[in-house]
Amino acid sequence: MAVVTQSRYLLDNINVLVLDDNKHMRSIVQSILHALGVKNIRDASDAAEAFKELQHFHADVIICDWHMEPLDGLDFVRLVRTAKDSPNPYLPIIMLSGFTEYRRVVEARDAGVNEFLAKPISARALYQRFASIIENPRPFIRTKTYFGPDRRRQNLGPPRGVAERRKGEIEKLPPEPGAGSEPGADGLSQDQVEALLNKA
Amino acid sequence: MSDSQIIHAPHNLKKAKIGTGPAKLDAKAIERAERVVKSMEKDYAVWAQDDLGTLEATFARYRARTGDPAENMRTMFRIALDMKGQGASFGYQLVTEIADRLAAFLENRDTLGPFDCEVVMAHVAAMRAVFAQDVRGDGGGTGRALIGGLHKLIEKAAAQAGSGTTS
Repeated sequence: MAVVTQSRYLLDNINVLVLDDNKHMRSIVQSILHALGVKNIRDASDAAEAFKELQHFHADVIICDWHMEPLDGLDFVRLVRTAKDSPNPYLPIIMLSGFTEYRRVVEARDAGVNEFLAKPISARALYQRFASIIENPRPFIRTKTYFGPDRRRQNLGPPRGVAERRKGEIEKLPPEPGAGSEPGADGLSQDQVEALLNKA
Repeated sequence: MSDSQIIHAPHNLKKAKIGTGPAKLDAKAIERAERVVKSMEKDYAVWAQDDLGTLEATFARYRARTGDPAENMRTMFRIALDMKGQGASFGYQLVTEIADRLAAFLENRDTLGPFDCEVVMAHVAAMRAVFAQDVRGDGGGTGRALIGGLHKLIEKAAAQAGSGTTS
């Protein structure tokens, strides 16, 4: 009788670059990543440093804050996507942000982020974003005004049957309690953010 | 000819999954990570109050017209945004809520009128109180009353701004 092995994620062989100008936030993210099994993590406190780091650190995923100076997270995403000396324009980017208003999420999407995670974050929410990137690689689109992951992933994905199977590959996680799921005063909840990114 | 080009980039994260079927949620890894975050709670309470101290000191500089006012405003906004982005990760949802409102109040604002300063002080005092009493979660009825009071202050500031009143 054949033995069926359950598929699982193995994060210990991926390289992650964490960019945030707040040292405590970098520490939180790195601690969560370590506990989830990620071993190769580099961090940077500003966009220029992060871009320099990418020249010799072969990141598989970037986790990037939005509100930074002098270059903000959107500037950094655009650098990675379109700069001539970008080492990998296709790098998956998860944007972490305290900005969760509708227009902000759209702005991040249009800059070329793959995933958007509202602060405050939780371990579960971050894990979920990794799962999404692993399970749902998106084609890239180049137009006169945009280069980045397909913003209409429902329309340009694989044939319907395959897409449905892929969707089903991510184990459904229970609703996020507390951190990461509560809408801000005028912001979107994480569920609303995901709905927006998926229905663009 | 279409103006858009579709590029199927290499999927480098294939290596992060074993097997091809539905992936199992690694509940143990998530629990481990949640425990790590929990273990940082005491450290968080210390650094968050340090942040609050920096916010107060910056606000004092702003009021005393010391340094660049625009820079002081940006610093206050950044600290409020950082505090919003961390509180609930450590169980202090009320800090996230208050800081969120303060960040929204400060964003894109170049100056603070006298009543605006009261709004800022009230938010800072509210966060101080949350830490002093170690209020976790949303604070229940007291938390709702606190948020309601801060909301009224912001509405009053907006009404004064709309009518041209500055104090």
